[in-house]
Amino acid sequence: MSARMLLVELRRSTAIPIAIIIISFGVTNFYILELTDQTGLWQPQWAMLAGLQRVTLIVLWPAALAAGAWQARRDRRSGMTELVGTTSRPTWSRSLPAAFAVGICAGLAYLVVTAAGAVAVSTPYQHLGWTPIALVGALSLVAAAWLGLGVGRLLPSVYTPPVLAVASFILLLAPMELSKYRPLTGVWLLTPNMSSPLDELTTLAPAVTGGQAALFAGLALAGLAAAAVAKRRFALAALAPAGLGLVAGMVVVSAAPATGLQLDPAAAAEVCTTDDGPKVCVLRIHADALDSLTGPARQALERMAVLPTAPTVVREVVDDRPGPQPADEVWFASANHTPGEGWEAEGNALSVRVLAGGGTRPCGEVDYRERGLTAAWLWGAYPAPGPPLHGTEGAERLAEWERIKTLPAADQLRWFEGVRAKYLACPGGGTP
Amino acid sequence: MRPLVLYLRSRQVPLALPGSLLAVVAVVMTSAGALNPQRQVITACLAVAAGLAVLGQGFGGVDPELDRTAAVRWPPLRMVHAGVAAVLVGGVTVMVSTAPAGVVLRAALGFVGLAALAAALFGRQLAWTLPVAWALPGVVMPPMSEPLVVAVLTWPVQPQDSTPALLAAVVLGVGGLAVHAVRGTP
Repeated sequence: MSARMLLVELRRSTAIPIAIIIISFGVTNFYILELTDQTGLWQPQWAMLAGLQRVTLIVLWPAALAAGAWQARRDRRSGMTELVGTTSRPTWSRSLPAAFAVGICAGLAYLVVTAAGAVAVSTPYQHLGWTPIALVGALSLVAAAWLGLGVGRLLPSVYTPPVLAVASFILLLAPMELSKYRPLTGVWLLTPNMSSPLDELTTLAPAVTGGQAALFAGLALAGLAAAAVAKRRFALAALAPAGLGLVAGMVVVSAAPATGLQLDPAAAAEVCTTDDGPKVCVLRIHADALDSLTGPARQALERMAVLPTAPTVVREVVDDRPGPQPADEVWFASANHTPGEGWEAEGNALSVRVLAGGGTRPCGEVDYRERGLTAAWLWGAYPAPGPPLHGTEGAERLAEWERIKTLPAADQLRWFEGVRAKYLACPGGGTP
Repeated sequence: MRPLVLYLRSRQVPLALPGSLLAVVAVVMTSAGALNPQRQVITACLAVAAGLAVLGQGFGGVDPELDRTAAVRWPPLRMVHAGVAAVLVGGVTVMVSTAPAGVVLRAALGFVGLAALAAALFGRQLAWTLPVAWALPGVVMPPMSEPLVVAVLTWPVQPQDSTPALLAAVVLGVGGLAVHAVRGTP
């Protein structure tokens, strides 16, 4: 196979059309998310970009399969099968250049869409841990195109491409439907379209990516074999790489956590202030929001200085960080940060959020009334800065506040320490 | 009678019609027992698209040049052919699916236009491309009514009383049928 044959096939096969379809669909998808204010689905984290693009494979896989199947019928469509059959050249010398052209274009087009989405990613956490997720997505699309070539060779009907497209779409819809009722586990994790959304702090376990890579490599080889063997009855041999890939994929994926997702330790690492004031730390993924937290967090620490065991550090923690929380630290839940937008409050209101529950994270059975009242108690006024409460909850909370303020100072402190101790001791630590 | 039989045979109808109805029933069956009404709408739209994708192979003859030499007024014939295909596929889908009839018939109108347009642009063998290419992304996106461009892009799965979706289906249906009727297949 010479470079010249490849160039000819690039121009004369379905390679360019499938690339155009992949790119236009991928870019339209980003554009629609932009229109409907859903940019938070990929812009805050590189791994989210790679994960979101994998979801689009539910449409791109059928497209690549159909394009491959259409390509496989080319000789028959132009009435050339017999003429080509009389030439003394092996089958693969005709089918491989076209297969490589289609595969290269499908894989590259997927990566072009990644690049288009990457333009909008804005995060302080720069890393390359997300690239395997994107590369496996591209590999899966190559596998789809080659599988289509193989199926099209074995079933050279004019109806094969549309039937293949609709049937594969319905198959890929199954894990998506299932994921609405329970998290996907086991062999379901091998589907190309990831149905478990990633957030800023989670990433796909390497074992899942590895298992998918094994499966898609096997499927790609199977498709290529079915397209390139000399006689159609030899195509049974294609079952070998496909089966091998599936078995290897299942073995590798079984090493992953049950849901296939894991905390990205580097994204959750701490970035702290370096000046002389009290230390304030945020997660690395929120490093660009450290400055806006530092002032309010230090103000909160000042308010807490009246306590017998006054904390000296504010740490942003992932929501389910295992306890117990040391009494000399304030833990601030990362749920107070909206991806792509920043903290959910600023200034005094942010200080009050830090003070909620006496500087603890929501954990166990959360009672937001007592968390709000302890923040107000530390702040010294009710209502404390922040969004106002309306309705019966507002009235009841105010009544509770009046009652607490009538208690003797020692009892007030005892009530406060009771609430704080409950959250400090909370074990937390559910798996993400 | 004989010209009709010959015409249907030249359009692969004896093979494609059972195949198309089989495709409709098979696709609808995949959501049998699913309680989610939106899931029924998704499979009904897919079923209509699949049925018309199969019947779309007959939206032109094997040899368009030869067809052109015949003393036949093709435009009305092409329009009736595509219209009957839409009615058949839409009617069968309404019967086997629990999705609202209005949604199914709207899908039949829009998708037959897309199939006819694709047949006129790329040839009868690629008539399936446009209906399938619009159906797959169109049904998988959540049916948001705002902004307008999303409502139009997801017209197949919009609620029955959605005006943008109906307009989209009518424009696609009438436009596609008209282009196909006038131009035929290349």
